[in-house]
Amino acid sequence: MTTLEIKNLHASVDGKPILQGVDLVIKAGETHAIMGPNGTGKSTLASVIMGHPRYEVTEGSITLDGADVLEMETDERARAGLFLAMQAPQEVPGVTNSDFLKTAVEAHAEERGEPFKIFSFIKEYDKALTELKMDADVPERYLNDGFSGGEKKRNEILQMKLIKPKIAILDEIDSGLDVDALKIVGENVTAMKGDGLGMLLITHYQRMLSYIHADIIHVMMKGRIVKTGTTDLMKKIDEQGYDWIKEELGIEDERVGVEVKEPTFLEPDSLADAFKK
Amino acid sequence: MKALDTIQPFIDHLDNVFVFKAGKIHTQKLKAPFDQIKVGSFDDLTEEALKTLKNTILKDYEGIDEALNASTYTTFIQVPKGFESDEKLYLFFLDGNQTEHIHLNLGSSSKFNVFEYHLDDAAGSKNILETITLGAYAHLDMASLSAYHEDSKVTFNRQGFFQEKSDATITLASLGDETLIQNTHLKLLGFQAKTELTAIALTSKKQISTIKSTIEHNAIESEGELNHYGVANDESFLTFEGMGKIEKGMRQSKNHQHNKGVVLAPKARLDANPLLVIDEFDVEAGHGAAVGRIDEEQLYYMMSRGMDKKTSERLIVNGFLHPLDRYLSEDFKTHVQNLLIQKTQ
Ligand SMILES: Nc1ncnc2c1ncn2[C@@H]1O[C@H](COP(=O)(O)OP(=O)(O)OP(=O)(O)O)[C@@H](O)[C@H]1O
Ligand SMILES: [Mg+2]
Repeated sequence: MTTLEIKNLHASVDGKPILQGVDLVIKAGETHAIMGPNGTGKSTLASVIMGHPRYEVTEGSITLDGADVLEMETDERARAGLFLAMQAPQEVPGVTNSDFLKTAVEAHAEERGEPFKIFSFIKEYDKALTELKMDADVPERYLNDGFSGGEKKRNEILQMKLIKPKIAILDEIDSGLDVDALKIVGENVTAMKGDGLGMLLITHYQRMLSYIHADIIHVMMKGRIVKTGTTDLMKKIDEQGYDWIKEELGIEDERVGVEVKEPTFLEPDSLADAFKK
Repeated sequence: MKALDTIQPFIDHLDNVFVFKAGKIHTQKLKAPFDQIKVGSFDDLTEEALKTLKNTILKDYEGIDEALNASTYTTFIQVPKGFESDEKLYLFFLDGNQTEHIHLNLGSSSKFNVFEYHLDDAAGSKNILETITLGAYAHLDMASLSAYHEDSKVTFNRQGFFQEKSDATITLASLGDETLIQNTHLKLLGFQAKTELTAIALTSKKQISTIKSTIEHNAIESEGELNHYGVANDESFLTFEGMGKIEKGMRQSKNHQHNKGVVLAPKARLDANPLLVIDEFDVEAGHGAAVGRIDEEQLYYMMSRGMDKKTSERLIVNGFLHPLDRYLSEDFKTHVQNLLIQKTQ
């Protein structure tokens, strides 16, 4: 069974520490959600897992089924089964969506030692476009070039459907989506759960989690996971915001790098508890 | 591989094709309406026609008398007035070590598509002069590819003369390993004449290429668009010098220029020097240049989907060849793709 294990992860950008000891275990079939105010390190965690070159890991480890993820290049991580739907997907003019996705799927097939089948690729691509209610001209258009916010997000999910990762991180996949689009994306993501997919959803809103059910909810502040719970935690955040957590934990400013005073972190609610089913 | 062997598989599939080898017609296939097009050397032209040529488009042409000398190769292509076809004429020019003159002349109100491919067998020094003339209301869509040997020295001098309301779209792609000087000078001579010139160049190893493109406005309400796309790899040095020139009184003319390029290796160099020379107030003109390394964020995004760095770079570089796509049949696409792979390794 696939397991992504993050232990005491510290990472910085330009020498500025951002992640300050993240512990997280995601197993096949589980859906985790990370919530938390702006600037607390959520996207940074996603970028570090995927190997963005700007971030330097200063301490800790990430393993996928025991293999050292930090030793891998970004493309190797992807072929090992990690996928990140980005908060702000890049635009790449000059490269068509279909060439891009075909090349990606080809690389995954090669990794598995399977032949790449162009016709089943085309069929699957068409099917995914329909299921995500995307325009038929998307394959011919340049990668995310001039796409609306919502189109970009759907395109991330479309790529995910064809690439079929083992562990997927969806960073604010709900932002920029209207209610109808959110429903479509939610259905498509939920449909992928069946195949033992492990997921990490990063979101600000409970709204999203009513379309994609999350088993475990984490709260991130100051570059760490400070609280872990289940649906109840999410509901409480939705009703009351984050102030009660800050009070409980003695955090004055939840953002990374804003040092009001030396914060004393409590260990997050027992992670192990959350995993018991 | 011999140049002829390289192109043979394509020729078999084509309806309208000329292969010129050492200046002589080696292969000729024409289907109606292309059988109306006259192709020959200067020897095949009447005294009268020669005189007219010399007094008109070839008037300011440096070295024209040499060109008319038998020691150089001349090819004259006459598209008759009112000719119209959506099909393409394919022209292949083989062999190095010579001066080659190509004169493409479109009669008024004709509509003509042409695809040229220049390549050689072995290293040599080659000088190609090409004139392109468009009569009033003529419409040209032209692609010209070149891929010469690493040790070849090649100079292209192209001139265009465009009459009233003519429209020429010209896409030039240098995909070989030669040392290259490519000069293109297009003159908009007639009212509302219009041209779009795109020059694409890929350089690698120790190659030095200089691409100079000029669009000159000598007519009122003329429109010129110039695009340079470049990729420099290894220790190569690629220069783009684009110029838009609008003469006095040529009001309501438009000239735009874009330069886009990527540098793939630390020792490679790519310079773009766009220039506008305007002697008239009532015009619309502008230029821009975006040259640099491949965007790190774009690379990361692509690699995060599982393709390695080289493949991601190649996909981005491929984007630079996009203007060529619509000219290439499937087998040509594969051929160009292979050239690209060699140059971006
Ligand atoms: N590449 C970077 N360069 C400089 N600072 C960065 C970079 N990436 C992240 N940071 C900083 O790290 C902190 C955490 O940013 P991050 O994007 O991880 O927050 P987030 O929790 O995802 O916020 P949001 O909810 O607004 O998306 C911020 O202060 C941000 O400015
Ligand atoms: Mg974020």
